[in-house]
Amino acid sequence: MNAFTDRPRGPTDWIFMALTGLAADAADTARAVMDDIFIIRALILRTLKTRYRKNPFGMISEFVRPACVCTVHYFYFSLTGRAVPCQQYLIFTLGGFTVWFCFSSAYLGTYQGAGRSSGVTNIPGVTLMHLCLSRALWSFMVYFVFALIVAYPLRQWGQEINPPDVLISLMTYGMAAGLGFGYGLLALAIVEIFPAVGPFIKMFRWAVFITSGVYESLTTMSRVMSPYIQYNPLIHLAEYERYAFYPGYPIYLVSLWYPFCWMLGLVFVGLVLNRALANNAAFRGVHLF
Amino acid sequence: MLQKLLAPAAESGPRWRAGAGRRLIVLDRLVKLTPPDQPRPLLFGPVSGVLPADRVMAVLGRQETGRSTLLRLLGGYQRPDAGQAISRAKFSMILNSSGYLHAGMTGLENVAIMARMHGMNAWSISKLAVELPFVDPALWHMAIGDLEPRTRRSLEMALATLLPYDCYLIDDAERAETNVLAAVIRMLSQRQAGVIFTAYKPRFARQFADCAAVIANQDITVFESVKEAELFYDC
Repeated sequence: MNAFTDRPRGPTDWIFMALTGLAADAADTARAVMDDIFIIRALILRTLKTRYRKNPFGMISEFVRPACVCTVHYFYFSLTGRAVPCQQYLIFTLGGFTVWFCFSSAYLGTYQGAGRSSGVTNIPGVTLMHLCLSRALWSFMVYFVFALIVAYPLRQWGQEINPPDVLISLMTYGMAAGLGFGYGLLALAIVEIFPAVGPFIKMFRWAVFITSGVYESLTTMSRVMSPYIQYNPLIHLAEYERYAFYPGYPIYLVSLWYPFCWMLGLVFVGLVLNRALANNAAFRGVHLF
Repeated sequence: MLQKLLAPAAESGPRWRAGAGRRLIVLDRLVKLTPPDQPRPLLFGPVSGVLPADRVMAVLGRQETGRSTLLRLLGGYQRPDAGQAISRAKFSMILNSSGYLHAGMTGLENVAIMARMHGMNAWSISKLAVELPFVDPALWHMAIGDLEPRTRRSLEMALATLLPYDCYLIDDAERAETNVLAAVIRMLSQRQAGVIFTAYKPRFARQFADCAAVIANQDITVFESVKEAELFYDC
């Protein structure tokens, strides 16, 4: 029986047709995914080559900013005796700020990167979406690696800190980068529809930063603020990352499902809006597709 | 559907058929409008016809007739305002134009990135690039931003020949270095890849093209030989 010319006679024939059709589609999809992976990988390498060209420390300089910020805040928290769960000032600052930087870097890479393609979108098959994805992925990789390796030099300097749990860190930084990517897509779409909203997007980012858990934990926060702050998905990620460094850190008030749902929602809405704008001739701005 | 589109096109243009191994571009009632601030609303269209995607074709036209726009439509950089251009061929980036190499990297670094983007071995493509006879090897080691615009465009054309496209698009071919353009077209013809380039002068097109299309009076007319196109163009 030829599945493509003969009329199917029963359920097995339908299944056979579906499988052969799916197999063809799966092969095409796999090929397209591999193409996208090649492009994103090449874009990351391209960014590395151009960003650190004149920098003698190369990629290592990417770790300087989080290291400096965490150091300053560690001394600030420990010297002021700030209320921090388990008095783990080092883990508190590392967990909070690395998650924030991952989110912020992915968001800025998506939101600002759409306007800085340097001619790469002239290459067939390369879209601004590839560029945004490459930047979000790079943010994830940098801060994930930073979290994994930061414990070793600190232990040399006498600090009691262990490398974080790899699986939890993978999830938290992955979701932080995903949230940044989704928020960047949404911001791009909103600014294209309502250009006057641009400055408010920047102000909103500050509000997200203040409530992201870098300065306060949910367990030590005042009961007036905590019911509202807990709606920020980043504070859940920050608390979980602190837990990844120190298993005794309290996480009974947070959940990874909440930021996961936020990430999916933001990315979905951002993609749908940007696709709708790309298909609408009335909007002649930057199109990701 | 494809056969229906091909049949009426034969009345007004060359008789290219979708035989085995032929690559074609089918224009199906293609329309492109000008930007709102232009006095003339219609650039060209509705145009129906067939263009070859596996031969060297010149697109002739006077200024502001839509030669570059046609290339952008074929390459997918712009969408038509009505109709469509259908082809199974994989089109290159538009060469000799705004550029796709990063100015902050050297030629070879750009080659490696481009090779990786296409899933090819960066080292072997870099080696091929340096061995290209029509490009000075020293140019590949210089930063793209330090090169003259004409040299940069030549490097971009040279690099594009190493990438696996079915049909190459070259804008404003008269601006390119002639020896590089000739070598690129010869190399691509030997590989049986198509080349579509835009030009203003038919005499220039005659040196390189097998066939031609003329954009005039908001229409696109395809000719089997450049000589016929030249006669039409001069009228």
